[in-house]
Amino acid sequence: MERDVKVRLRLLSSLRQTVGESELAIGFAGGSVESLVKEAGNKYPKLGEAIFAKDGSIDYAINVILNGRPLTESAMKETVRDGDEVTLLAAAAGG
Amino acid sequence: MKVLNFYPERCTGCRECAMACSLVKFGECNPRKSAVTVIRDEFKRYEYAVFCLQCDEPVCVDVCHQNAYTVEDGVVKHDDDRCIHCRLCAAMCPYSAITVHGKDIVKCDLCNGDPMCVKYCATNALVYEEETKEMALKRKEMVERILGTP
Amino acid sequence: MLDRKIGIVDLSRNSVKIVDMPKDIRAKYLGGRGINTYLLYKLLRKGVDPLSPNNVLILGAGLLTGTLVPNSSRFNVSTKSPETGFLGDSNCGGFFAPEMRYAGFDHIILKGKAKKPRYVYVEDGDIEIRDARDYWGMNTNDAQVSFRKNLGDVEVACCGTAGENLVRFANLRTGVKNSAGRCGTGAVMGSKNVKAVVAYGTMGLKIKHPQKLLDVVKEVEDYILGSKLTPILGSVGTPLLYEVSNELGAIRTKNSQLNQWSDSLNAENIEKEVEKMIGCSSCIVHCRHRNKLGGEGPEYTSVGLLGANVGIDDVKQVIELQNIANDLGLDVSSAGTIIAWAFELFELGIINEKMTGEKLEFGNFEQARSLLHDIAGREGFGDILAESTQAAKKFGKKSEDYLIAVKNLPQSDPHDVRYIKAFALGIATASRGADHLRSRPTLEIFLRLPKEVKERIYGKGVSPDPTSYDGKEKTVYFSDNIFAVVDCLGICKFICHGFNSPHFLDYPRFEALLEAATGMKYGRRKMEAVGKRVIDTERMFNIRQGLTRKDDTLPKRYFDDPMPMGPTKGHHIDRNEFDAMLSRYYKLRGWDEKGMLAPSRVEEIKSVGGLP
Repeated sequence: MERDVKVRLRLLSSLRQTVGESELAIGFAGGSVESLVKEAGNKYPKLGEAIFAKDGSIDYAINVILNGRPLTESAMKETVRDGDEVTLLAAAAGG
Repeated sequence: MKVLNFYPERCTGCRECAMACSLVKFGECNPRKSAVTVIRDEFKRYEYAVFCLQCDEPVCVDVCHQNAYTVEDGVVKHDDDRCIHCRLCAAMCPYSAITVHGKDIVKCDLCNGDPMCVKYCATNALVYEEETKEMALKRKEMVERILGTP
Repeated sequence: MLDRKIGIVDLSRNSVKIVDMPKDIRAKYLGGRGINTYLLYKLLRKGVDPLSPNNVLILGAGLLTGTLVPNSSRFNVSTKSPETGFLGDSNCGGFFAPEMRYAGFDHIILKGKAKKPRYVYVEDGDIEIRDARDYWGMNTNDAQVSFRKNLGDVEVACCGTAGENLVRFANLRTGVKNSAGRCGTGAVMGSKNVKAVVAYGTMGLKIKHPQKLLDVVKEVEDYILGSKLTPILGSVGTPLLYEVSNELGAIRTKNSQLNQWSDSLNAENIEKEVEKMIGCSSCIVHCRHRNKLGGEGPEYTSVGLLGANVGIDDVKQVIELQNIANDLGLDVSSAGTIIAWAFELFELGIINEKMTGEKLEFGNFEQARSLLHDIAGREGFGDILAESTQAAKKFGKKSEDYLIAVKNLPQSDPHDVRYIKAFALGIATASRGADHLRSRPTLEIFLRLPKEVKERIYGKGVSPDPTSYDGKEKTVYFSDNIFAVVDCLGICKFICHGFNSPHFLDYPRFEALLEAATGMKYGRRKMEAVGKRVIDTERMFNIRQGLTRKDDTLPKRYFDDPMPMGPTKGHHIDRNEFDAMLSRYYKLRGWDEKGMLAPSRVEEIKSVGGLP
């Protein structure tokens, strides 16, 4: 399969430690933000452990920012384009 | 044989151990009426749990003139029916591990093998685990050192 | 458990009265914040000067405080706030409240004013008013260490020099870090010539159903410890929130002129300064850092408000500032907000060197540090800043446009609420002023939380989009109520449903814990009704002190200045949308368009029986 969609994946807060890097360059066959994040989680099992919920979905506590725009759950279906920047941020609520 | 061990680096000072102990033994939550006492000082920056070490050669058994203390399967047990609440045991215990609360003498009996302090410790600072021969020896040496036994 | 008393300490008359808790008050308000609020409403008249002998200061432990119930360490301190002129109420953890209960008291009311410095000593059912001359003039660490040296293993809630000097945001402190931080509780204590309340107790709390409590707690504990979030809170603590807000572009920076700041204040850099994580009484989460610089913390609030907001990006400097503020007995939230406000006013030329005595500048650590000391000592320009938001009288009308406060209370936390609309409504309507711990539906920070999850928690019609105003009144309403309930029970919000996680303790578990400990049977509705009653009583108190709809608002900047940076760029609060959301919130509460309670509801609350 062609891997011609190149994406910068930024990993923040506790996610940095999972792969030891704060940024990954990912080659991707194309598709939605959701599928990109899932693919990354499968490729890097420790990242997967941190971002997947028990049912295999992306945990609600992971905030996803696409090219500087925070995404709601429905926006996760948007298509990733070559050169996009996707940021994953393990959020926590409280004070 | 299993023993109660304490790891101070994991203790957060929360006193859930003492809350559980006093609740099981007296039906109340009272960290000053518990067989395990968390000594803590935020300003001096420490937290440390004090409890009966079930000594091999227990001072409390020796000094009790009412024979209120017996050793059963390695556990030093206190019999409140025999006790006249003179508090000598508490005064003589080299580890200050016997709690006096009013007339009550509070002494760890390891909850028949399922210590509640361990069960409610959220950080595993208190652990009920097998004593290795090495630890048993270390402990005996320490007791003898403190008592000045030749 | 239900036998603990109310101690009424009249400092003017040098007398103490000890009374039983009236059953009706207990049933309607449970304890802690709820009972405090009711007592405050009954004891104070309209227009009382907060720093006069006519004000009262009430310390009230939660109903489950000091038990095996996880994280049950807390008490509330309530008064008419000298900082705001409205309700002053602050919740605090540590070890003081359990000790006060073991000493026989659920609530201690300080009234009047002592002729000379005094402290109140509480031990096993007795209360004494004692000479405090040896402690007056000490800051909060020295005072506590001295009390412990002289009196043994006591717990202390005291004011620092800031409280003695009537700084309007002086707090009450216990331990190295815990504070009843907000609303100037320490200034009220100082105004009464009281240095501290000191407690020592050996009286245990009898539990109604011991085995049941052991069982319920074990289940609850396993549940909380099983969450992915708990180990993170227990190792990193609240500073992890800094990066979350900062990356989003929602960290209050330089008095909210900016909304993003340095990565250098991220939790991973703070962790390097941490020696050990410790807990409050009965805490299973242990979010407190014992730092290597001689104190505890920092919390996210300090990181943001004594860091980003004053333009400082060095972790050690931030920790040092918060250690100093804590020792002096100053609220870090107000301190960081007021200093940043002054810095910007100076930049804008609204105030000048004639008043300040020197050039003020963001990022100047030495200056921030000496300002903290000058505020606590009311020296030079610090004397003006010590007036908190009321310094606007000196700074001029124009200065109010740059003040990040609601109901005269500087905003508590470092999150810029222009992006997440529910947070904005929360700080606008919170009963003590701009604060995140009264009603913030914090789950909105999970930007992908699905609609069905939100609707299950908050009700139908809540938009999944955090930037939408739709249905957001429901999120604040829910949080307002349940947070009031946990404040009555004395449990930390950290394990409360809807604060850190949608999977922490909800009403059914509070009901089970309450019943096992006390035998009191409360179903979901009755429990929630307590929360609503607390909110309504607080509202009645505020209305009597002159509060109107126009006080349920936001800092001007949040309406009129779009956020300048990052993913949140361009967002602000729309006045019309906000106004409509506020009306919907009132309606949900059963308040009218002006934010007033129905007369029948006022009568119902007034009729709760048995004023001591």
